[in-house]
Parts: sequence; structure tokens; C-alpha cells
Amino acid sequence: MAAERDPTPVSRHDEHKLRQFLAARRAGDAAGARWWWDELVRDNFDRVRGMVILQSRGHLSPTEQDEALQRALIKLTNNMIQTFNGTSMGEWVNSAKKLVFGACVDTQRREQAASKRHTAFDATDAEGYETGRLERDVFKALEKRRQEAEHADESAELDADARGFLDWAVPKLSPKRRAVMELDRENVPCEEIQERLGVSRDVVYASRSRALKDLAKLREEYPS
Amino acid sequence: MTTIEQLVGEFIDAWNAGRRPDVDAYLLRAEPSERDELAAQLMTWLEIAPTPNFDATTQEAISSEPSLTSALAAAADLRAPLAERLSTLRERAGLAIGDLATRLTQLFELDDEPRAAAYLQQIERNELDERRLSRRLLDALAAVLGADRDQLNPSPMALAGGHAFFRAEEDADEWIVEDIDVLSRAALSPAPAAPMDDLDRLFLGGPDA
Repeated sequence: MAAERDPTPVSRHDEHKLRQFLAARRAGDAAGARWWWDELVRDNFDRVRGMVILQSRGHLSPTEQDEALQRALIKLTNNMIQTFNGTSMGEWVNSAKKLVFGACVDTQRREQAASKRHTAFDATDAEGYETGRLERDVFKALEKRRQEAEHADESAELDADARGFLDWAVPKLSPKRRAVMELDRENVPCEEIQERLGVSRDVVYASRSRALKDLAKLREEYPS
Repeated sequence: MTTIEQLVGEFIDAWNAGRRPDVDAYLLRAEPSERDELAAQLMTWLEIAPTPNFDATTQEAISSEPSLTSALAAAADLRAPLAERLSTLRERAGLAIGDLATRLTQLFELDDEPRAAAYLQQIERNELDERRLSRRLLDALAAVLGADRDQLNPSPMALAGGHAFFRAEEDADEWIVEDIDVLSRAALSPAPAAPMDDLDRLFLGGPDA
């Protein structure tokens, strides 16, 4: 069982960076807060990129995925630094996930709108009077999208319950899956997990996969 | 053990070792019929995974990722005052202030282009408080200038006014006195003769106007 492991003497480095950010923000040190926040964004670049790819599979082309990634990173850097009101990396990742989803949806809608606008402008380019009407159409579409995006940003902040979910869900896993998942989340190498739990690598791999499947199901049941 | 279990197991090993596994590459290794399931498990992992403790070389490689560097640069540009961004976007669109005022008044079916132009000039000279601009106006500017709406968001500094994040460090007492003085004078001044019209509300009525 993971519970048998010695208590970790130092906290995780990402939690440390988040605490540094929160402390700088509390102290009114804007430059310090910005520095630590950018560190968090850099450290989590692969996570954000992976989330963009996985959330947009089948909906966005590789070029559009790059755009969505840009959009997500810009929002993470400029918007989430101001709106984030959590205190743990679990909450940070959860907010980032919502923001990534919004960026993917936004990218898809922009592509659709751009395609329609292109067609419409081609059709009426010679008509000077049509420009105002077309701009009004684009404007209305932008207004609608903005309102939806704002709603998505708000819900990203309200739904900062990742830590709560894990506290609730992990104990529901079978003992072996729970032990493997807890050690994985503490960044313990596979060989050490095998040794600690006295199991083979195949068992570790199977337990991981099944635990992730269980967690996905539990998320649907999670009373929010 | 199934292929998915194998792939998820390898992905987590690589992630935790800081070897930066590529999601796309792992998806390609699965049978097409198994990719949705693999994607779902990888997504769950990314939601709960610890951030790897990267070594210096890897950190440098991440910092040099083109998509990261360009996003950080774009984010920094977006933190510039709206005054700078608006004039750049307007010039890029090849519009004079008067042209932009004409388009805006057409869009909102208002007249008084000269007053709209004067407001736009005030924005570009940084003489108008960004926080007073309505979202409708910023949406319209984005539409007319063919810009991404995010490029016209008020700068974070403007939005965070008064927030502890930007707490003053040195001569706060002096500017507080100045602010109180300005507010006192404003309180003692008679109210404007005419209430705000639609055009005023766009530029001065605040985000929701």
C-alpha cells in the first residue's frame, strides 16, 4: 500500500512554485508573481499541449491545434494569473483544463466564422454598401462568442474542485490500483513501485490503466 | 496485458521521468479502434499527473519551444496599454481615425462621427480610462479592424486597478491625496447638463454598457 511509504520530506516542486506565486501576489509583488506564474506555465507546457491535442481530436486540424495551443497559453499567461483563486496545483490544473477546452471551442468557431466571412466577402466585395451589413453580421457573431467565452472562463474558476474530486475518488479505487496511482502521483519510478508493492511491471501497467478508467467513471458520478 | 495498458504504462513512466512523451505519437501506436479509449485515459492522467521535475537541459528545451515563446511574446504584447494596441491595429487595417469612426457609427446606427473620432483619439492618446469602454464597443472594433477580440481586451493592469496584486510600494500617500482631491472636486462639480447618449455609453459606460 502507498500508505506505507515514508512521508515525503519536501513538498512537490510545482506546489512550491505555486506557493511562491501566491505569496508574491499577496505581498503586492507583481514582478515576482509574474515570474513564478510564467514558471508554472513553462513547467506545464507539455500538459497543456497534450490536453489541447486530446480535447480537439477529430475537431481541429494540426494547424488549428497549434492556434488553440497559442490561445490557451496566452489566456493562461494573461487571464488565469488574475482570476485564479485556488491554492493547489490540482485546482490550477483543473482551471487550465477548462481554459484549454474553451480555447479549442473558440478556435473551431473562429475557423467556421472566418470561412463564412471569406465566402461572404468574396460574394459582395464590389458592393460598398454591403460592407456595413457584413460587418454587422461578423460583429453579432463576435458578440455571441464573447458572451459564451466569458461564461466558459467563469465556470473554469467556479469549478476549481480537482483536489476535492481526488480526495473523494481515490479512496474508492481498489487497494492495488489506489496504491499504484498514489505512487505514480508522487512521481515514484516504476521499478520502485514494483519493489514496494512486490508486483511485476505488467501488474503496475494494468493497475494504472484500470485506475485511470475508474477515475474517469467516478468523475461522472462526482457530486459537484 | 492489453495494448492500451502497455501504452498508458509507458506514457506514465516517460512522463514521470521527465522524458516528455508525445501524445500524438502514443495515439498513433494504438489501433485506430482503441485510440478513443487511449485518449480518454491519457486525458485523465494529464488531469492528475504531477508536474515532472525537469533537468536543466529539458527546461531549456521547453523554454525554446516555438509555440511557447511566441505565445509568451504575444501575451506580453497584449499587456501593453490599449492605446498602443489600438493604433497599431488601426494602421495595420489601413484606416484613419475618421474611417474607423465612420465604420463604428454605421455599425451601431448612430450619427455624430466627429464625436466618435474624438473618443477614438482619446483612447489612442491614453486619455480615456480603458475600464470605461463597453464590451460592445471592443467587439465592434475587433470586427471592423479584422482583429482577434483578445487583442482589444483592456490591459491586465487596467483591469486590476485597486487589486492588492498591484499594491503601491513607495509614494502611495501622495497619489492617494491627489486621487482624493480629484474625487472631491468631482463630487462638488455640477452633474453634466445632458445624460449620456448611446455613443457616450459605448465609450464611457463601462464593460456592460
